[in-house]
Amino acid sequence: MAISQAMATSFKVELLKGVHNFTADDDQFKLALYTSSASLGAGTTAYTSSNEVSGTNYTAKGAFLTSVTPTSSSTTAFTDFSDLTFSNATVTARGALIFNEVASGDPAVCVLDFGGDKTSTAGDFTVQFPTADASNAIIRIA
Amino acid sequence: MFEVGVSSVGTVNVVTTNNIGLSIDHWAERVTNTIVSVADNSHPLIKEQAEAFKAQVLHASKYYMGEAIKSDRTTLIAQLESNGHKDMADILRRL
Repeated sequence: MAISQAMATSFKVELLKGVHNFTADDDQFKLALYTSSASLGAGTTAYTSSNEVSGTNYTAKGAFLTSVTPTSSSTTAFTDFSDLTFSNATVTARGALIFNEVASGDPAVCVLDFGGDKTSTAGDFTVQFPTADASNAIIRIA
Repeated sequence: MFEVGVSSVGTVNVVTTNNIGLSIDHWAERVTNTIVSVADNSHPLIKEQAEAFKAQVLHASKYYMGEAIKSDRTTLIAQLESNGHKDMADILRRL
């Protein structure tokens, strides 16, 4: 079992099919947290409840992300999300899955590896997204 | 033919706390870094001005976040007292 950071291969196909729209108009994408027992990677195609974390103030399927309308710099297109905080949470997670809550079947976008177990105890569990530029943004297509 | 050279996922950073929330300093820095970014290869004079502006944004963010928290606490205290929970209101008042 392992969590490998990757863009879901199925997501790339779905981009070409016009399944996903990151334009910041409404809640569409969610971030769910997973334990180190989860098996997630490029082959992940959709949200799964298998080995999703459980804990105080965390509900199944995680929480909605606030997306930032995609843009580009030079030849690279990218999009961004605002930081996401699970407040007053008692939870331990090793990674996360971003998925499309609105599209049929909750299709996967990408898998995030935290590099180790991260724990909050009656505190804030915050996922900080990287700088929204062509070199660092969370989702980039060059 | 369309060819996508590279599709990449950025690296997130996870920040956690125990028995306390994240500080005003943390959020003020996140706000500032979201609003203002200064390129390493900027002209030195422009970079200096941008860094000064960034410092001002950070200072203002910290101040007004503190004020927002105080206002919210005032609302909570008033709500608790009006519902007969003076003991809880006093705890909040002492924070």
